[in-house]
Amino acid sequence: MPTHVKKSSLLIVASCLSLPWSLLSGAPTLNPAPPPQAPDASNTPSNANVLPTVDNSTSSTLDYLFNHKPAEGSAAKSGGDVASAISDKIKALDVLKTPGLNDPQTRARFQTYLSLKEISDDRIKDYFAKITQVSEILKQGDTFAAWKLLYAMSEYKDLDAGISRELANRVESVWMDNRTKNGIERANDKLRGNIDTYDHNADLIASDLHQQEIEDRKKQGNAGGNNNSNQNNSNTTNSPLLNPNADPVAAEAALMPTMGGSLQGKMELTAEYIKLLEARAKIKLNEMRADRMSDEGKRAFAQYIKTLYDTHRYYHMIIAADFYRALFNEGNYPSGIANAASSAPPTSVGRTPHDMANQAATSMGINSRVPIDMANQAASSMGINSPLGDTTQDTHPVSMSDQVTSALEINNRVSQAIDVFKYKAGRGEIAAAAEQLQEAFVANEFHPGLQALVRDQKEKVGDFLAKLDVLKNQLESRDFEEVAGQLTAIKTIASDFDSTKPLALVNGVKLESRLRLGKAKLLAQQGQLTDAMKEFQVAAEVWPGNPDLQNSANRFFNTEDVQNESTTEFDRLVKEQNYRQVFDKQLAFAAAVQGDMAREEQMKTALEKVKKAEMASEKANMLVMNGDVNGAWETVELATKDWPDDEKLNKLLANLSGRSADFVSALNKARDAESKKELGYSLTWFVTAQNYYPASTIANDGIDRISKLILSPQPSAAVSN
Amino acid sequence: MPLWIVSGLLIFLMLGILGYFIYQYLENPYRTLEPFPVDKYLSDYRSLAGAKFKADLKVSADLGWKAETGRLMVFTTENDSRPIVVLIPPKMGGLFFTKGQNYQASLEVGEGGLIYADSCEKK
Repeated sequence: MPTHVKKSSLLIVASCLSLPWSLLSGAPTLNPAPPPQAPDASNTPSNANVLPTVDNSTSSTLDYLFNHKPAEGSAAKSGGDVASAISDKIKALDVLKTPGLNDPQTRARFQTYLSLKEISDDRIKDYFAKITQVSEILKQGDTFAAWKLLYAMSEYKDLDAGISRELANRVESVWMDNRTKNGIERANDKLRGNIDTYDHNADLIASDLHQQEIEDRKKQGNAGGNNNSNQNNSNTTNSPLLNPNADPVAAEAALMPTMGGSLQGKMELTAEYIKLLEARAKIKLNEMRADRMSDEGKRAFAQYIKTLYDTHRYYHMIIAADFYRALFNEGNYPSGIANAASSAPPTSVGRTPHDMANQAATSMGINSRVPIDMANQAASSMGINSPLGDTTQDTHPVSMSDQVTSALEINNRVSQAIDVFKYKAGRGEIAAAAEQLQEAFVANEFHPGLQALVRDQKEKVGDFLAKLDVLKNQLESRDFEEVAGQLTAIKTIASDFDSTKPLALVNGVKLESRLRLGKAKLLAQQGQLTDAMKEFQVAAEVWPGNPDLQNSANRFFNTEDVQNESTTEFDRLVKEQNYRQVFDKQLAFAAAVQGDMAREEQMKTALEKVKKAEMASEKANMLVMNGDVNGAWETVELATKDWPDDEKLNKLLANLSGRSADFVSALNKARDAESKKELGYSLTWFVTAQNYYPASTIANDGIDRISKLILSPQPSAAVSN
Repeated sequence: MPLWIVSGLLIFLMLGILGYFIYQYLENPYRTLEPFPVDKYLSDYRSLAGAKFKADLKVSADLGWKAETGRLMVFTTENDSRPIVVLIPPKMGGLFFTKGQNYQASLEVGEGGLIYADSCEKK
């Protein structure tokens, strides 16, 4: 319980503390937006009383921000279009592109590669020499020597990655298959020998049976018709079994009727025939097995070659292809239905997938008329969805010769790119060097030449690409104020980097934002707050980091607050006739009352009053300095007629009244008498006042006025005779 | 010339002069009027309303003229430099006032404190 009491006390104290602050700060507490509902006229007045007072301009601004979407043709819509166009322009900037590195995995590998230490040229030359040696040995037909060299190549683990050993294993596997096939062939030869034996035994058994039948016939003395028939049947039944091409089942069925006579002999004969049949079946099965092993071996090796090609192990792929020809005794590579993709259905734009792939490859600087698989791979490496797709590969296997050709071509291109990279990097042209290196890496990241590149040069490329990424991010996030510095940093790394387009883009966007901001300010000054807010939003969308944006936003919203406060204060001061405060704050009030005709007129009147009062005050001071105290008093007195409640004038008037008491007294008496219709008395005092100050406007006017009244043909009641 | 004759002539002359002054005094229409009290007028004219005074006036300014009403003139008196405004009625329209001239006048304070000249003679 004590804990609860403490918590409650804390809550109460917190509430008490927060309440005064909110009241002191005067911050409007906006209620959460009510759920959309049909307008109810009966609820409106009560809601208006309950909800905190939000002036029209603020409410219209909030309404615009939260409840409106940019309409077609509106400033906000155009702003969105502008922002979208800017994004497109940023994406279209050539200098920001990193060809082939759109794939995150490839990019990560490239980043890793850039940080790897280089491998010595001698080591790479040795490795290359062994690759060349393997090919030469294979051409000479010495597969075994080539196979041994593969193990030597596998010792270069940093360059080879164990691929050569795996290739050697694959070759060995083929050889193992060949040995197995040889064993099968030997088994078949043995079976064929057995078949001969079985044939011979069967012939002997058949002959014995024939002799036994003749002897039995003689013993029984039966008629020759049946014997002839049996003999014929025996001859007939034996002959199919001896024929290797005869159907064993039919032959056995034909033989069966003769078995009734000499069952034992016939069973032996049947057993021999069954052995013969089994042997033939085993031969057939072994032949089929050998064929299957041969096909599977070739297919597996071809698949492995394709895998090497797909994984960009082009040098190993070429060696493997040479092994293939040597192992399977083929004069040429196996031909698939090459380039069948060229007959694939065209895409929606009328181009074949092959064309698209070639175009992608061309962008990498690779010969556009490369085989389909190579083009596919190039496109895939660049993050482009392979136009040929898996379907083409499944239905139309690519020929190995095409793979070899493309591998050779790619290796050649990579070698050229590496040479160009070295040349450009040596000249400090890192932008061009980076492009060459990216293309080389994407084409064949396992090219030994790439491993020989010096890490310092690669790291420059890495720094350049990292800064390029930052620049791209800055542009995409429209953090334009940092772009200039970033471009300078990039130029220090890559002297050949063309910053013209990014700078032009940034300057264009900045200008667009500033123009929109200027327009927003202009509209705000004209009181068109909704339109101003739209332009302001567009300016913010185009360049969110615009440093003027924050200041303008503060000014914009402060202006709204000040405008509202100023209007209220202005009305109060006018009501109090405190024109001097209006005069002092005329700049703030001028903006606040702009467009409000009534207030503008009040403002004008107030300023004129103060202006006249100030002029009178200045004139009075001048007259006092010249000794004309009466003139000074009269100047202030006339000014107070126009603005009786001005403290400054009244104070000055009181001060001067003491110094020109006779004149003031005379005028006061004259006025007092005039007000009482004592015209003669008043006129005398006006004349007396004039006597004190002959230039007195009040006195002279009074004299003229009263004189006319006295001399009037219809005199007032004061003129009696 | 006998002494008594000279003495008689002197006495006669003196009597003549005395008679002249007595005559003059008796003939002056303002002799019975009090001098116009400027100070009192300016303090509170109402106490003087309806009373007649004599005043020796000096022309200060002409404020205007209407045939039906007369002429409004500003005078000062011999005893007070403060100006007073006097309405010269039309019957005395023949007078030509020039600044600095001296006049003797009979003045009456009317309603509203307006001073009327009953008569006015140039001195």
